[in-house]
Amino acid sequence: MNADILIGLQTALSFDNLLIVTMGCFVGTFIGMLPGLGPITAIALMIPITYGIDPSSGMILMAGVYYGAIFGGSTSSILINAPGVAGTVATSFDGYPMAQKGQAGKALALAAYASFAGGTIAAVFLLVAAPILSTVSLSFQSPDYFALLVLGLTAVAAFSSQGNFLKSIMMTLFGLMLSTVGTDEASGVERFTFGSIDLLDGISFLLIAMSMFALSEALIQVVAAAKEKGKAAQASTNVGSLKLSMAEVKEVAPTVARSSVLGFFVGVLPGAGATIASFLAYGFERNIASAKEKLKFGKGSLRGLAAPETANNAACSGSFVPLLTLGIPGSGTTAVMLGALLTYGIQPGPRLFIDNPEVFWSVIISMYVGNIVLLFINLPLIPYIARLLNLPKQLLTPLILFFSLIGVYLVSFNTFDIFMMAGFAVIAIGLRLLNFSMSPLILGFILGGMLEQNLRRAMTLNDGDVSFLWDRPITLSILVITVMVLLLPLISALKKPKNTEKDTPQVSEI
Amino acid sequence: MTLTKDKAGALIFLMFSICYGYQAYYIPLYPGEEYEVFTSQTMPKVYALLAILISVLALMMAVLKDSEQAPSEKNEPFNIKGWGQCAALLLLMLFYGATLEPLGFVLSTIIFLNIGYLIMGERRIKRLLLASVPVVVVFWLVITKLLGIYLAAGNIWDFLG
Repeated sequence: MNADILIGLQTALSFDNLLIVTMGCFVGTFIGMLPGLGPITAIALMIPITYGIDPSSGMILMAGVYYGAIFGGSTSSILINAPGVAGTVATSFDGYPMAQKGQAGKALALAAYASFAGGTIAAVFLLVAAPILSTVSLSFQSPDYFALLVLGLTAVAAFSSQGNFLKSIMMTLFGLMLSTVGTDEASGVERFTFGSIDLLDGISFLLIAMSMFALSEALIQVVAAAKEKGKAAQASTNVGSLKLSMAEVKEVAPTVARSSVLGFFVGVLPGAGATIASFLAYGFERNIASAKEKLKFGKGSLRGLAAPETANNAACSGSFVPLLTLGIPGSGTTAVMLGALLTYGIQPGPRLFIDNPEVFWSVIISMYVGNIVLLFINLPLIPYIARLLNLPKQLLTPLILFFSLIGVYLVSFNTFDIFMMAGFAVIAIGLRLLNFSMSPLILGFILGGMLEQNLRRAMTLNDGDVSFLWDRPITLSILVITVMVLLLPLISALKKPKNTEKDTPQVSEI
Repeated sequence: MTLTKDKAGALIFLMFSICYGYQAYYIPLYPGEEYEVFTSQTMPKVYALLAILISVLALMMAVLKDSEQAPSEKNEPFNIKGWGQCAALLLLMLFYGATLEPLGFVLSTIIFLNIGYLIMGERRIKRLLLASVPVVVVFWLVITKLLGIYLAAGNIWDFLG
């Protein structure tokens, strides 16, 4: 294993990859900062570029963009109270009041240090946990994978960011349905192609990711643009000092440690991710704070800012555990990464650790590098990057549309894809207006093929008998957990139909 | 009874699922495949059934929720300008798809970007050109020269002689 780590270290620290991770962090920060555009859009926009480079570098680029986007989201949360990313909404609770008090620089620095600490501690956990889990999951068989996939899909719905369980399940099913379009891999039969040659290969995941996220987010922003004009104008104001005093560091250190652990474990859970981690960490810190300290929360508390910032970055690292070890993404972002890996011909999962140790380890190691880049290069440049927020929207939107369209076209060289993207963008806008979230859809779409493949194998081997669902203890326990995950929100939804739901179409999902 | 977002969403999804399920029965099977335990129709049928069940449940929940409380959704004033721009950009995307191959990458993209900027309200000619021509040329150079991806020249020129 040590040799593998060395290979990973060598790959991650090569000049090219260092350059790539730095670039990724910058681009990610910029895109994450733009209100409404989140990490999924940032990563989707990078995918066409990753096709031209080798898999390790591609993953490193995407991981860098992911971190950058989360950090960028924090920046816009703090500076203009407009979180670009759902995972940084909790950051704005205390970050924005600090900025209003003229301590924007301090808030940004604290956010960066907290993110760095959270990311680093979580990366150490990942380093230890991932190989162990990989070894365990080597014994998994088709029924276990099927059960795990079902768990992943239901958990995403159960922990859905907008709190609407049934709508998330509907979106998951919509994604699964879309995944059946095209030629059936096992039998070679055409499904839902309506005689069109362009649909024979199915719908590409890049097309779905770009149109459902990048295009629809950019277009929704056009509609919402009038409201944000005033906010963006404030972004160029002076951010003040970036320094933190020793006493302040001491104050937040325990918070950072607690939130890292919490964030990592929440991130590992399929479907939970950075948003839930940040809110949980914020709530936890507020609950354990003294009565006097509690009053400060929401008015610019350092601990209130450090907790969600640490937790969301730790959760980002945590979400790589199920992706790298089981091949099952726990969030929309990791689902998009899985899609990219699959197009490389790399199947993440326990075999990844054995077959492509350089990909496995270089991704983990580049996470440290990404965190270091964010801290030492991005942070000092924040006042300048913040000015980019003032880029004229009238120029930015057509450019985002162009990059999304051409990104998909350059892979297929088929203009039918451009028409299809426009169609899916319309569908996505409609769904967003009806308060549907897009993450379950992309997850369902990407996992659909695997789900069918594993179920088919298990059913065929068992001659149509479904006893494989309870024959093996692993399968049974995963399915029991799935049923529990499925029932809990359903019961609470039935109990409280009055549940007020938040209408937050402008915050991007993770 | 008003049509809330929840009800509309569930209804649309229900209709979609029924159509999908109907189509699933018409997926062709190879001779003898109907005796297999798992065919190409299996998963689509399962998805359709689940989707119909879930959307009916969601519809019922939405109706229940509606009868217990007055609809609280505020009717925001319709943002004509924003939606107009959004629709125009969508049409522009279709136009781009239609012109990309006949006109070639460089020309069609310059037209796409300029119309896009115009739709978004940019009127200064200098800015329009500066934000489109260099972007397209640099992008074209990177794609064709640096990454070595071949971009076909527009085929309309063949017809024009």
